[in-house]
Amino acid sequence: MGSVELLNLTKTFPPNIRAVENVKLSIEEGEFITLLGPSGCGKTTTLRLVAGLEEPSGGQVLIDGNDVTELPAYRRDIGMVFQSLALFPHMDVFGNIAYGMRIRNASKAEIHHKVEDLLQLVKLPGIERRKIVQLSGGQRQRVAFARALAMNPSVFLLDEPFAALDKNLREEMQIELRKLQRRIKITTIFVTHDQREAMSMSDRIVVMNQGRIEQIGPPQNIYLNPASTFVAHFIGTTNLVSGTVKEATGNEVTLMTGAGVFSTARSASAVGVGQECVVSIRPESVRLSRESNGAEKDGFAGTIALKRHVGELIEYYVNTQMGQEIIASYQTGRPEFSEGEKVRVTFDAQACRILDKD
Amino acid sequence: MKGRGGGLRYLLIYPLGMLIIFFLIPLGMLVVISFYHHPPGGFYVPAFSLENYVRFFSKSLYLLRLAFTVEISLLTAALCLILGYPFTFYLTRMAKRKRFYIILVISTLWLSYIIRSYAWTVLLSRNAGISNLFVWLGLLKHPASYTPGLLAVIIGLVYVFLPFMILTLYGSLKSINAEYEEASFSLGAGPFKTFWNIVLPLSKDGIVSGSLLVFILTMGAYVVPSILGKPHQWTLAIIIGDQATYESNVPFGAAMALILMIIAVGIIWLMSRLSGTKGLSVGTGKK
Repeated sequence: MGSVELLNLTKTFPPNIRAVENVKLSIEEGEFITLLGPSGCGKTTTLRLVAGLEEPSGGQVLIDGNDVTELPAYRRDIGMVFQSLALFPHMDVFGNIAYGMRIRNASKAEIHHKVEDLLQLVKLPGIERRKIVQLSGGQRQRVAFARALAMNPSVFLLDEPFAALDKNLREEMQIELRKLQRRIKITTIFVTHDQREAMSMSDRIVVMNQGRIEQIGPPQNIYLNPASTFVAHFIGTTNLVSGTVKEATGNEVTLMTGAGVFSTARSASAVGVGQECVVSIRPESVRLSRESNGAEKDGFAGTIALKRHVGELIEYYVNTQMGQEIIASYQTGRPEFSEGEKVRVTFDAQACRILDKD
Repeated sequence: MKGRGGGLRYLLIYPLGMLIIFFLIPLGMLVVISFYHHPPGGFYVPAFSLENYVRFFSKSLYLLRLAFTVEISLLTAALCLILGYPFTFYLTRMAKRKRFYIILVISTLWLSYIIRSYAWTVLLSRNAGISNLFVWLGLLKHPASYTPGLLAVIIGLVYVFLPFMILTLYGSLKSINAEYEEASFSLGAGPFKTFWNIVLPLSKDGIVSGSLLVFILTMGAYVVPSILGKPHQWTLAIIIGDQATYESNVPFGAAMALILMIIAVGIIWLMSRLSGTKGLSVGTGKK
């Protein structure tokens, strides 16, 4: 129970705003999928199309193989957590969680039993009679989860539920949600604009931009092999260096770039000599060495313009001869460089990704 | 003492003065005068006498007017709610040009009650009224006159006070987050159940405020019933006006005005208690 299929889903808002364009996505049972993208990329609209809160302009939504495109939200087998949580303020915790069951005329004993179970599941036993205003931020989140799961839906939908939380609580809730999802093995579609959140929670991430899917894949894969400059830029920090292909042999490509000439491993994109392209190099794949280490063929010279401590990493902002700025990150404790120091910059050829120029 | 707040303190004189000059002093005068004596043919002489109150409660004429005033106020409030709620709900949820419709509603308030009441005397008359339209449509055999009459009074009052109901409900219904309704849908409740279980309870404050507002306004209605009603459809406000102006019996008028006010406040208090609303919240509908 719980597979979701989106077939060429399109949503156009009047006058002519294409919020979602031709989205094709197949979600397996029990999978945790995150729709990730900047605001206005169509991720929330896509989620609302799955929920039935929005009518598609074209395409189909299948849940468990059944076409539910024409069904309104209240006939779809979904549980949803809203950005505002939308816990009913005129009902207590029990009333909120029991709402769906009461609508379907479940027996009193059954409702009591189920609410107790759900509160146990979200680790809040015994708060049935609390009013919503009396709950803390984290408690509200959990009650919203419990309410959405009360009807044993086949799909669990979440629309940026943690956006309003502070950093610590947000992380706590991310772990909580992921554990919960694992335990009950429910198909989950999660919407966020926070790439760290997406990276840390998802089985697969769907990166969206301007209503289209840019890339679908497991977090690590998307991070290491971004399909476009947009994805490379949006997920994590990256150095985007544009250049021209100078030479392309069997498995090595030599590029002429603003940062210098260097060789990299050939990636999936077909490249021909003279073609313009962009190379994405993650900061942790940039190597710095002291100029004095003798003459080196590879790499190019630069000066450290800024040194920044970011948690357990140190980021170096290096100005290269051609004006291109390169960011390199190192674990603390490794040999350190100081601002103003002249360094030689090399890239880990295996970690460079050649992308088509936009 | 020359405290720093000295200058600021003088600012408070303005609202305090307003309250005293425009509310407390007139009300105090009303209370005092209601105990004065009215000599036949004269105006009033200072006294402390309960004669005005005794007169009111011992004559069925006045008690009937009071009962009628309360009844028609409750009826007007109920009708305004029944007519105004669906309209306002539609306005806040579906209508595209909300501002236009709200201006349309407010625009009816640009004309005075008197002019609008006279307009209804024409519209409800035999010669030029809407009954001719009903005859033309085949609903009536002969054109009829509805004015002066109870129906005319009710139509006039509802017409005049409906905008107040709509404006109060508008704030209340508009402030309900659409996600509440969507959450209800996502939990399997259809539009009707969502309305009944979510929208209606969440707009309770607006319903109570709007109803109380229309109720209070109708309790003091003077122009509409005097133009559109027969004497036995007059509200207590008209009787009070008669006593004060034609009979020169200001003490008795003052006593009746106070009784009307106390009854109105009592009913408002009762309704607020029953509905669990903390007080009047006109406009926003927020607690």
